[in-house]
Amino acid sequence: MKDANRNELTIEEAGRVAALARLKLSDAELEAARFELARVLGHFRQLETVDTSSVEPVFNPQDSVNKLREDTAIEGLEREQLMSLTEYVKDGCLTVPRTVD
Amino acid sequence: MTYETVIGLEVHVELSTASKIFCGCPVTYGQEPNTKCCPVCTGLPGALPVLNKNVVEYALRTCLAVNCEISRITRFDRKNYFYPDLPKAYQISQLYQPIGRNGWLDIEVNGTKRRVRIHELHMEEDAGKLMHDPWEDQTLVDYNRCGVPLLEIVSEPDLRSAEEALTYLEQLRGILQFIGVSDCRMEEGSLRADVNVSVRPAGSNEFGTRTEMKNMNSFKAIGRAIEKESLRQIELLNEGGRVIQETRRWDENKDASFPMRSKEDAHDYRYFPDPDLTAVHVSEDWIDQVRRELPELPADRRKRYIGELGLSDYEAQIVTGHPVISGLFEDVYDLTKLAKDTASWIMGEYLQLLKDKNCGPENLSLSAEDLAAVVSMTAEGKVNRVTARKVLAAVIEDGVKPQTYIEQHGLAMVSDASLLEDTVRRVLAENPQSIEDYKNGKKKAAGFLVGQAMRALGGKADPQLLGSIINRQLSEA
Repeated sequence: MKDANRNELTIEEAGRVAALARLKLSDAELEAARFELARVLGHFRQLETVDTSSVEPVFNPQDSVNKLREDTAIEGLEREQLMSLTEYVKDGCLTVPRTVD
Repeated sequence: MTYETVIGLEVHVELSTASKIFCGCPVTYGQEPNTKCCPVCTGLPGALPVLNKNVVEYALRTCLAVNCEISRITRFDRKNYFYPDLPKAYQISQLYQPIGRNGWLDIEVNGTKRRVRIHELHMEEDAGKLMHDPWEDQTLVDYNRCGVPLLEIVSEPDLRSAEEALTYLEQLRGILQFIGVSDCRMEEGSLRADVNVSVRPAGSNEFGTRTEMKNMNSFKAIGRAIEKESLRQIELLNEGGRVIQETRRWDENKDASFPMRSKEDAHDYRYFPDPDLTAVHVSEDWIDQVRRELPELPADRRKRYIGELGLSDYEAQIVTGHPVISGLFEDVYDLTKLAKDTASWIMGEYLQLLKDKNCGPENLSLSAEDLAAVVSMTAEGKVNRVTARKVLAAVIEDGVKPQTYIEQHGLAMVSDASLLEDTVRRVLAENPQSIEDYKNGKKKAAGFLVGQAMRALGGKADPQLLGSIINRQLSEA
């Protein structure tokens, strides 16, 4: 087993992954994340060495298919219940900082 | 240099199922914000989606109606992005194994037929609705629309003008309404389109750089936006500039499009198969069953109306424009066996009524029996058309039966030849100048006399009979 090489994921790549996940990391945290992510990638590289050309891909650990529900409407949450999960509420709506349209 | 415009459309249709795609919340429009939500559609931790069977059925129906190949195994994928209208931070959509591929629709514009290929058709969930707070610098979020089932129908860039794009959309809308999968109310956003436009030198086989205008929800705006955007690109190229691939926002009031502030990151949706949902296996039996239940499609209906009922292309097009109108035509025709007359009433008075009342065909209460009575009585010469129009209006306003209304108001057409002869004689006697004019070649004078006689008879005369009597008496005068 080849150990995860520190240089297999650049700090820029790690920064991009963090940005996509909306994570604001300090330099030290980013370096730690880069190191861990590089190790994860190392595990996948190890898996890549196995010949899977004759194996069907598995998308889901369960074998079940066609888990479907009938089209019946039921009532969900009361608005007060839903809105009690946040303090940012106005006129029955959740509020967020202004978005571009 | 002459340029050719190239257009591709991504159409989003909200399905009119009873419940949402992955949870039991009702699919309704215009409710109080955040009252049709549950842990699944608001992405609360631990909630798990279960696919609505009807969504698959509607998707299969649509695949068959737009000639798509149906995937026997279809799956859902997660499209990841952060936006406040998407509480899970991913949209459940289909990327790798969409339910339909390689479909087509045939359209005809100004006598030219074109086959518009459909790249793919997939199922996904809608996002919530964002409203800008007019008082504070913030945005209000309503999750009611989260999880409303959508079909996305992606065309190939096969359209070449705004007119073609609108014809394709109209045709697609007609099909979706006929097969009952969506009400397609553009003003409510249940049909919206992303419009991709590029231009290229005429005759070129390579595509130019395209721009995209998202979430357009009126035919008028789509038509204008395509015209203006292709002009903008052509002017840019003629000035030696180049088109940038970007998303633009169409501003209907300013009649122009503007670049949207591009996000700092290029889109990276990091699609991956959704582990919370199982694959859907579509059996031949299932497809056969959906095919058997598929109603006659508008294109087939048009063919039948032209071939068997003798309607013109135009008439057939109009009466198959909406399932309610088409149903009305079918029922009235069954009762009257008068295809041309029925089409004429629907295209004339009926559509005018919808326009005057500013309502959709589904909101006008008019039974096929009542319209059939009006059409028949007019065709049989029992009432003239002007009177029949009044009858139709009364039927709709007051809910009376046409026959009753005609009897109560004494509107039955006067076909009593001796009464008409007497009236005409009197009118001629009162208008010697018109007779003089007529003899001097002013044929319009006869029309004036018909009008006078008709007025004397309270508008109830059989116009053809009256006309022939006037002509005869004039030639004898």
